[in-house]
Amino acid sequence: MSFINYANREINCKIVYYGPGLAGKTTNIVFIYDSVNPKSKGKLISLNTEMDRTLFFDFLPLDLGNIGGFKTRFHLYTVPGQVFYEASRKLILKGADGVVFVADSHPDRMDANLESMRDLKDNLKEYGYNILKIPYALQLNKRDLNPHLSVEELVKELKVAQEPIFEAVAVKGTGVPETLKAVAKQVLNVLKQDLV
Amino acid sequence: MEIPNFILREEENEKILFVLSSLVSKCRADGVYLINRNGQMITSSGQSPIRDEQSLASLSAGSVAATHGLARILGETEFTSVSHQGEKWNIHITSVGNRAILVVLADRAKSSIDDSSVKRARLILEDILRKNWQANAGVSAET
Repeated sequence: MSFINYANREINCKIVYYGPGLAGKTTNIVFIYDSVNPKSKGKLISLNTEMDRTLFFDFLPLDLGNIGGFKTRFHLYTVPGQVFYEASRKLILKGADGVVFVADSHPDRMDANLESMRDLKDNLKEYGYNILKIPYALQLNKRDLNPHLSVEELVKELKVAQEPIFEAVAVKGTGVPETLKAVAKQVLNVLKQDLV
Repeated sequence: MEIPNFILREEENEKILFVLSSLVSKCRADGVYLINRNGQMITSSGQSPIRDEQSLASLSAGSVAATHGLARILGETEFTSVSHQGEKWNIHITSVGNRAILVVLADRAKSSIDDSSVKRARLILEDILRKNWQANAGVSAET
């Protein structure tokens, strides 16, 4: 559900980075924050625990140009990945226009990936979204880890439809902009249809 | 997309601004903000001391979302408002229907947040947003 403001010719969209704990959701956002022109971004807010794990969310507002004379502002959020933050995750997902699932490539984290994917599908469904219809991208993060699962193994378990899939090493920024661009493009395409 | 976009037209924005500016006067508030539940600023009025209004919007929505979660744990439908008191500033956050949040920011030394004025403003804003929602749903149904 985008917010289209005719008074100030601005469109606000929300993209949520979802995935298991320590998969690299915050790392994605921090890389984007560090690499974007200061004029195009707002302040990065992180609500963390003392151990720097995401407690509630990270938030980054980002301006991504114009569409039909409207300035588009993307609000990027991460959710806390740990299983016990279920309630917070659900609250943050509300109103999302697009979702990025950040998967961990380490073999020991496959169960966590699957559990988080189930959780995402359940929560989307509760809000009336369909993961097959909402703008969505899958990121396979930590490709530099040794050992790591093959792309085929991860895709076989985590792919939901024809979504774009990106290999990433978020700490180095590899695959990070590509993932964001892919989901932002889908959100903008939906908006263009809505604005016609 | 299954859920209609929230489309704010100029005439609705003007009505909202009128309500917010009245509330600024009545409460002698420094800033009054209408924010949607997704954490996006709809519009604001007053001489806001906050430059980073996007952060204010996102954190206020987060606060309301967390408070809503607490209410549900206790079997309440909702806690409709929450207040924070600092040394210099008071901040009062009120739910406006299920789509928006009204935030009143006031300097403790020179103003007090008047509950009845906030309530009146909330009811008018709820009505404006309800009509907006119905209009948008109608637009979506036609297209």
